[in-house]
Parts: sequence; structure tokens; C-alpha cells
Amino acid sequence: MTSPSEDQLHPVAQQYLRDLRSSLQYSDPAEAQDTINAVSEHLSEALTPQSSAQEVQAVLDALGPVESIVRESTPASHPTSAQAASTPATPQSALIPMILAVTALVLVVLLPHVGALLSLAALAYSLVILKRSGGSVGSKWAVAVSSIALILVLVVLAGLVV
Amino acid sequence: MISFCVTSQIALHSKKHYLASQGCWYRQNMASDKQAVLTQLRRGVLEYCVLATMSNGPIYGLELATALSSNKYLVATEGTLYPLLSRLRKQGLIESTWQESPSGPPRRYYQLSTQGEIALAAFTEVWNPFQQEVSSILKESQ
Repeated sequence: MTSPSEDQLHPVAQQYLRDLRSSLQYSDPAEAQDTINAVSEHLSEALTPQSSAQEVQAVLDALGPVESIVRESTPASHPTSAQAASTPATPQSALIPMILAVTALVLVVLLPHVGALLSLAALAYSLVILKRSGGSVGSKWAVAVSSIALILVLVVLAGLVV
Repeated sequence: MISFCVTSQIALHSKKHYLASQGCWYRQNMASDKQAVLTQLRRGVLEYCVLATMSNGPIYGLELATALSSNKYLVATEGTLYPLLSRLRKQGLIESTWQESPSGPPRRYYQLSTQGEIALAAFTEVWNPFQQEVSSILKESQ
């Protein structure tokens, strides 16, 4: 995300900030954000919309390569939430809610309450996998199968009650 | 006779090449050693120089970078100051406030906190005798 003042910067300066943002992704998040804001302020102060390409380059040269800023930054102590969220779920983990859902469908006639609980568990588990995997195909299928199983189980339960 | 001359020319050329390559290797190693020493020294000293620059009053990022970057041994590049400023603020040694700028958007000004003033006073107290001791030892070693 860029601030309004960043949008007014020279395209080369904007690219420098993008490189900095991307290179600081494994640094301490709060320090990285502080650094990006401070460098952005530095650029806004040092440059005007009328600055020539040479002037922009001189300011960037004085700031130094992005790597030198990254070297001075504190590394992140643990993976960021974005990295944790992108941890892919294994294909096997998406199979578990599907097996639960099918078992629920089989059991619903013999043990309706157990079947209902199983289908609910399958849906909850598949939603967790979907969130963790960031929307992998397997997890989407698990959600779909579990949802259909839950609807069918509810229909059967409703039929039994009536 | 001719073959002796040619052989000695080749030997001389090889020796020159060897010495040149050794000189190049020595210069490269010397440069990387100097960089390593500078990196170590900066780590211990730069933050107090930043605090000292703020002792005259609040200062904004570009102003601080311009003031310090004229010291080439102290600051490698201006950009490296900003992670340091963030850490100093996190440690409570400096504070930042936003103030209107006569030209352009508001500026973030950095200034010493009470804790920062104490840290700077402690550094100033030990720095002079420390650097005198180092200079004296280096002088004796020459």
C-alpha cells in the first residue's frame, strides 16, 4: 500500500520504495514499517514533482542501495502472520474433512445425531484448512463436500423428525 | 644467448605478474578489513552521534541525514540511519512528533527523551578517556 505523498513521487523513487518494502519483509515488522515511512518522508522532502531524473538518482544514491538498509534492520524474530497464512495445507489434510463428511452421510440413517455432529465437524475442519492454505483447490473441495453433506444430513434429520 | 634472453624476459614478466596479483590481493584484503573495522566501530558509536546531533533541538529525517552524511567514516549511506532511528525510538532514547512544515507536508521531528539525554551524557563521559587510551596504544605500537 502506498501513501498519497508516495504517489506523487518520481516513478524511480516509487520503485525504490517498492523494492525496500519487499526487501524488508523478513525484518521486524514494526521497524520495517517505520523505516519505509521515514524513507518515504525523506524522498518527499528531498524531491519535488519537478525534480529531474538526475536529481532523483542523486538522492537515491545518497540513500544507498536497498540492501544496505536491510542489513541495518533487525530481522523478524518469528514468521509474520502473512507468512504463516501462506503455509500450504497438505493434500492429506483436505481429505480428512471429506472422509468425515462421507461417514456422516452413511451414519445419518443409523445414528442421526452422530452423523449431524460429524458433518458439522467436517465443515469446521475444512474451513480451518481453507483459511490456513489461503484457498488451495483441495481445501475448497473439502468445504464444498462438507457443506453438501451437512445440508443432506439436515434434510434427512428434518425428514425423520416430521 | 637469444634463448637465455627470452627465458629471462618470460621469468621477469611472470615475476611482475605475480607481484602485481599479490599487490591486488593485498589491496583487496586491506579494503575489506577496513570495511569490517568501520562496520564494527559504527555499530558502537553511530547511535550516540545521532543522539548528540539531536541535543541541539528537534531535527527531521532529511536534516539529520544531511548533517551526518558529510562524515563518510561515520555514515555509509543516509538510508541506514532510518532503521537505527526506529530502534532508538523503540528503546525510548528518542521521541518523534509531527510539526507543520513551511514547505510541503508535515514533518516528523525527532528529539532526545530524558532517557536519551542520560545515555548521551554517559557516552560523552567515557568517550574522551576511551579514545585517548586507544590513540595512545596505537601511537606506541607504531
